[in-house]
Amino acid sequence: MNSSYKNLLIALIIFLTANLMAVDTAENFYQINCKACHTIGGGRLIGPDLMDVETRKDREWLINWIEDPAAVLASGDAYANKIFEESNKVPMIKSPGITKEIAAELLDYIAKITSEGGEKEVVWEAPKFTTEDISKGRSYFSGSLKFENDAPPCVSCHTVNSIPGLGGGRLGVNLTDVYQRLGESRGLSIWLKAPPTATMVPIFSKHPLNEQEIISLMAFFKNEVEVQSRPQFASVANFILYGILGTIIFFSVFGAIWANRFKAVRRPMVKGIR
Amino acid sequence: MDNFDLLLYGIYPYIAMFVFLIFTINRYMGKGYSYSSLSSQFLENRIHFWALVPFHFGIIFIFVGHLTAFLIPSTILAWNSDLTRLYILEVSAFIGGLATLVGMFFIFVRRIFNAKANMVTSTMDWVILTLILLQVIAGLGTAVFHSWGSSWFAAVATPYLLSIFSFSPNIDFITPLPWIVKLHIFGAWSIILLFPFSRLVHVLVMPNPYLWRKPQLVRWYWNRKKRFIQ
Repeated sequence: MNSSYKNLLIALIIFLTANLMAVDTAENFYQINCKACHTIGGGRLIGPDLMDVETRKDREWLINWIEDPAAVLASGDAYANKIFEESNKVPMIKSPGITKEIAAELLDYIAKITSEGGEKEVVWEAPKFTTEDISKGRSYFSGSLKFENDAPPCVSCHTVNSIPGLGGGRLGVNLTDVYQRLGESRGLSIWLKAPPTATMVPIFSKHPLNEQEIISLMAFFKNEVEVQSRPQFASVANFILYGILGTIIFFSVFGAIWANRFKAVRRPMVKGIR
Repeated sequence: MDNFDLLLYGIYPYIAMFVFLIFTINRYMGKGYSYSSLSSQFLENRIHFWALVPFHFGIIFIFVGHLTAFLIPSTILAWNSDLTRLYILEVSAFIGGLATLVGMFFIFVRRIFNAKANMVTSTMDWVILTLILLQVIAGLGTAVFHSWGSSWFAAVATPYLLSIFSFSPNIDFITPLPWIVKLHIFGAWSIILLFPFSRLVHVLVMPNPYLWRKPQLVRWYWNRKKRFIQ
């Protein structure tokens, strides 16, 4: 590679690296990544209230926890395990793009809101779901009803036990008991407003769900807990089986179409031009 | 941000595309006649059929599927809005992948055990064949363990690829994905990187008119029997 190619490549790498290193402000980061599970003075959601969090654990521990919660949990840390148990065993999520510096800025932001008396407590009234909500929720989940802001349907990545046939997607977790796990209607509604997992943040920050869609989905998930369908273990095996059967048919058809390939090329062509 | 992911999915794609562009043009300008699939059908014709035909039908079907999901993702999502249609698409794509895999198995068998085919197989052929084999296995693994790719491709891979092609790479879509999906994406960029140095260049000079032109009959110009008598 000559030197002009090298220089161009180096310039390209510097340009891209600089572009990728841009970081949001702590407040933005909190709104996108933390708010689905926490409040600051507004009471417990899926995770604990963060008001005065630094009086409960020291800053170094908190930074390590925010930066890599799975590692702290795996180390057997007693306080991390206590939080895990209190959160219905929903693990704290590692936020996309998190660093020690951003974690420190987040703690500064939480301290600032704490000193201002915290966020207003959310008065929550559990919505009453109708059968129409459940039906619409199922349609949103399966994709037969399109989300207003073009978010992909849940079934692309998730399944619930009641889906027949080959089931739903397996990129994300099974959502059959998500209504319970994420703190019923209050926790789930906040979670659905800004899903905080690393896979969902980049998608749903640009394609958020609207209020009606969230209510329909909550109704559907609540119903899933109530009907308690059995897991569809055969769906993966059936998928593989259909694939293998289809491949056998594919090869058989090919064999049949070109069965005479060694003897039927030249002769019919010569015959055809006579 | 994980620096390793940044390297593999934010920077490596540009290196791959840069190399692809420069060396593909360079090879065409300098050694245009080397743009060939270097067919060895002459040397061995029986296993060749079960290797190359399913391989090409399978891989072209899968490639067109990936391209469609990238270019018109909303169409794929509209098709997938009915679960039965989603299943038909996914099972069809899986069959395409399995046909490619079986074809690759026969390609390897033929090039390892047939002395003539083995003789004309270069190191780069082995490298690119192994890379494609890994790519197919990772794709099939993704289809089985992390379905339904035809739907989540539109939400994950399409915006990632758009960010790459618009020179503002966003690897947030890729970083949290399972390792086998990431391997599949890395494999795709690697194939693009090695493309200009391999026989894959024949894709760019595909003789499309073969599909619709009239068959040509090749015949001897002289009387061979007469020649032998003389």
